[in-house]
Amino acid sequence: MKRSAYFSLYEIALLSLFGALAFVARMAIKIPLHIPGNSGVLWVLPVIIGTALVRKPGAGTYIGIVSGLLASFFGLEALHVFDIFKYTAMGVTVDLISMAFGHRLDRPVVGFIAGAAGNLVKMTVNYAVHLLLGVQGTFILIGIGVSSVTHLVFGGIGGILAALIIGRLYRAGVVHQGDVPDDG
Amino acid sequence: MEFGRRVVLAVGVLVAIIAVSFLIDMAVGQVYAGGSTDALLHTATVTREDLRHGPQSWRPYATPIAIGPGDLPSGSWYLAFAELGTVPVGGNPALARKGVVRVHYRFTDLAGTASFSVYGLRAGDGRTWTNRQSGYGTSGYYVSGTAAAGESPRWASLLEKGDRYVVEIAGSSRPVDDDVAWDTRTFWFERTGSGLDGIHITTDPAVPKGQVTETGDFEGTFYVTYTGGNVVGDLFLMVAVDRPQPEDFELLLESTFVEDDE
Repeated sequence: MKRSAYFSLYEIALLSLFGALAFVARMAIKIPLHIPGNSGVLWVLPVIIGTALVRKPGAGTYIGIVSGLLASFFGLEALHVFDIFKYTAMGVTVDLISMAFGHRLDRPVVGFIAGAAGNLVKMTVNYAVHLLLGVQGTFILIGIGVSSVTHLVFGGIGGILAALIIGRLYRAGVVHQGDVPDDG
Repeated sequence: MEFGRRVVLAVGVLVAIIAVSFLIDMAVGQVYAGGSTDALLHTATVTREDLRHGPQSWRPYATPIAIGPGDLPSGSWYLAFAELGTVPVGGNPALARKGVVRVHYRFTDLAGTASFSVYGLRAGDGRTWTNRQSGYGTSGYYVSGTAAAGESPRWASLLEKGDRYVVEIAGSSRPVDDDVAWDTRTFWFERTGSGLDGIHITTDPAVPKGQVTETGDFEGTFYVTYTGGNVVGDLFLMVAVDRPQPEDFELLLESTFVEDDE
């Protein structure tokens, strides 16, 4: 008996596109605010929207891995191959938040929590990788308090925007809740 | 659990993470403010084997610029590049802990003149700034030595002119085997006229745009400042010497970040 795949071909294509979009949003669009975590306002959008559309545990993780792989090999950030950890961690976090709230990422409050938590976890993993690579803790941990607040705020704003977009997509009938085609 | 309680619980967890972050920040801040900065001291040693480039009259920029005092490239210089391990921070003081990099140098057996220049790589894309060599805002640091010149370094090679320069980095992870490649970094200059007014060398942090200093002191201190609003990701010191150096030539560098309000 043929065992059906966890993600359908349609879902894999959708998640891969959102993973690529997260990478592009991170790399191509620079907001000249010079505030830690400001990019979170953009790159949580594809992660949350993709997770909300597929509505399966692991969807966020898949998006995180795809964007992490792209960032590791084609990105310009300082951590290079280690970037995969922070992108994947963000995807896992959005997955967990989505499951905890019954996949209701179309609600702005859930979007805020998912975006803020995802961006905060990304920040934490970023610090952890730096520490593991031998960067002096005193040097990078100074300012972590303010940095965590700005990550929370920008990730949260991105999450709210994602929730509003998802809500509009549901209401417009572009996608239906729990009605994403699953035949490849 | 009902939806509202889950929201309250999740927000509580987020607030707890923020609180823990501030506690870590306060603890680290106390260590930083009250303790010695020795733990943050970065050291590097440059020997004659680290003079990997030259002899040439110019140093890297979008168009070659002079190494020695003056506007026009002249002389035959050997170049070494050392990473300083920390970066100057500029921008809005409300958003960042602004500060400069203090560099303490000590020469042993320096022949001829040594010229210091700095190269800062922008975080994220590697665009490079260097100190201005001519015109308003020129800064630099020159040290004159008295030792007899040594033999020409056979390992030195000319840099290729262009807008990207791959330079070999002096440092502690010195290859012991010829088969092991030296660490290299790429300096990229976007266009002529850009990247000359962000980073400076000064003997007084209160004068952030810097000045040209010529001295005969084999040991001394200068500062690297940044007056732009971007983020410097990596900082390198170029030391160029206008004569082949003797066997015992050595340059010890100690660099550390100094916050503006210290």
